[in-house]
Amino acid sequence: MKDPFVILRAELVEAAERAALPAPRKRWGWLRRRSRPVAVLLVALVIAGAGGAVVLSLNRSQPLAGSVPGTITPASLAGYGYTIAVVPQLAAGTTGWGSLIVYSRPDTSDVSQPGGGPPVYPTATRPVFGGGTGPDSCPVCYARGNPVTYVLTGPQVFAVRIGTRTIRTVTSRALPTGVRAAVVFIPAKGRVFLVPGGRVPVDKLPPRFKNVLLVPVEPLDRFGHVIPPQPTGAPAFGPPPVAWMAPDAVTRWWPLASLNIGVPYHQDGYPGRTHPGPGVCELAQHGLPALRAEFGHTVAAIPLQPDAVSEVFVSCIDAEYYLNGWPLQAGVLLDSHRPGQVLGPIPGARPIPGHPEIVNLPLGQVPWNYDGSISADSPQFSLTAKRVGNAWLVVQGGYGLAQRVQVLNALRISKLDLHHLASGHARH
Amino acid sequence: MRGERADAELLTSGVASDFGCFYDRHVRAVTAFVGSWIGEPDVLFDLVAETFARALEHREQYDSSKGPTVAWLLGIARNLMIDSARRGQVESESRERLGMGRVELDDEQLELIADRADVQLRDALASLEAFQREAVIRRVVLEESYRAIAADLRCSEQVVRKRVSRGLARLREGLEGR
Repeated sequence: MKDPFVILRAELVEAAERAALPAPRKRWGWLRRRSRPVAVLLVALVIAGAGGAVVLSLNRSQPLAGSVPGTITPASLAGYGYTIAVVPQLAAGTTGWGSLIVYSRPDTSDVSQPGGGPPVYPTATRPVFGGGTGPDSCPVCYARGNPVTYVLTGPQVFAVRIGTRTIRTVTSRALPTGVRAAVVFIPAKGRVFLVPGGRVPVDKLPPRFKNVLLVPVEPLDRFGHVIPPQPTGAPAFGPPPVAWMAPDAVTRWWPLASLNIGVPYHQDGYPGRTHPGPGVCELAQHGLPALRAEFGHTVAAIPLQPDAVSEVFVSCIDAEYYLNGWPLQAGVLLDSHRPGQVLGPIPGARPIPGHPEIVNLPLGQVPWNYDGSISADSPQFSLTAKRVGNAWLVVQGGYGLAQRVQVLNALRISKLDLHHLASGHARH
Repeated sequence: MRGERADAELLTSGVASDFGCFYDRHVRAVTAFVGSWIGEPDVLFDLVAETFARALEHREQYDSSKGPTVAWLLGIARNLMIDSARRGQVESESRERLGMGRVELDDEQLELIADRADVQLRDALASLEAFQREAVIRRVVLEESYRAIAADLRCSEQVVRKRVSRGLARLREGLEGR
């Protein structure tokens, strides 16, 4: 008889050997080597500009949604469909766009891979403002590499230089107005982290960056000139949101942790608010007694972002509801240039058949805990929204679309005060 | 322990044999931990296998600031047990993604697994100092945050971390000696 724990050990070591196989480098050398004549010329443009004629050898961006190339193996995401989504943020007082890649395959749970960095928006001095996927991404994706990566830019960026390739940025209905993107494929199981600004950190990197290839990204204008990096502060914020937590609040849903930093679970002597504080926006519910709000934030003023060069949304309230054990986040989105004006569409969201006033953006599932895995019981990250006046009322999470629609129909915006605006201050 | 390579290094080095050493170090603790709740040896073995497969797959996500590796491992095992109870079957996603085969077990092997699991984790826990036992149970089993435990015990997070770390190390040594 062979000891089953010894058999298991051998299986694990073999699996670890397979997982440690180096990625093929020859084909993807363009990510590593310094500039040299571009091997693959898809488009050659001669543009006569103010600075003289410049020849740009452009590679085409990969699409924002498609299929991951490569040999299909159990330990990679090759063969999965992928969709890059740029999403508004529901945390009250938060301005800007988050982004993620949703990997999907029939008969399996979708996997969402969050983009790196905080939600931001493009400005004149911050032309590359988001994208990429780094070592802090979700456990499932990281174990299998990040086969697709991308950068998000402002409208002034015509192309980006990544490694030795120059890739033209594209616009899309899946992107906010004024936002452009460039998408590239990464070798199977590769771990590539795009670093906006053209400078790779030279300091000793933390352990989680081990075996990660850091690749600088340089933004180019329409004449092929590098848009030089300019010192810029952190995105501007308005007054800090005021948190509240219901006395019986209990949650283990990890996305909330990022919103509630510094707010512990209720314990004896909890000094915080147990009900929503006064704010510019308020939510009310009706007709769904099982729906229970447990956490949330309000803001005393709506932060404005006059320096944004793209459309940018701001949330004026957020709350986490629970319905039959499922967490759902709700928020109200306004325009951060002029909060009273009609908002553009939620990028990539589509109307729901039978509910013409409601749109849905599928974003896959997230684990209950960051260290956990995604299973059939995991809540969704997808969001569903409907227009209420000049705002979007948004519900995210839950077990599925039907539940989000149910909650959306049970919520209403009971207060929307557009008179308290904050031009924001840089938070460093 | 002096002279030994750190658990975290074995886990994240990317060297296959290191992961084997990591497995050797913790398989008893994980088996005893799962065996405290699960009676059926085949289910128990599946859970142990999936726990290590998940640890291998997610090894880059291990964050030493959140606690020792064994706490992380037992946390994975705990979540797996909960998920499996909900779904009525043990998950095998990580093993499938890693291309691992399912180990077919005969009666003798099932008996061996049952023997191996027949380690009284409660006895081992009982051998710990009371303050270590409480810290280990609250952090690993109840998954309370270091901050919450520290606030409740009126001590610093650092003290709680030490208690958990040392308690788990003693637990492991105790289980290895059985």
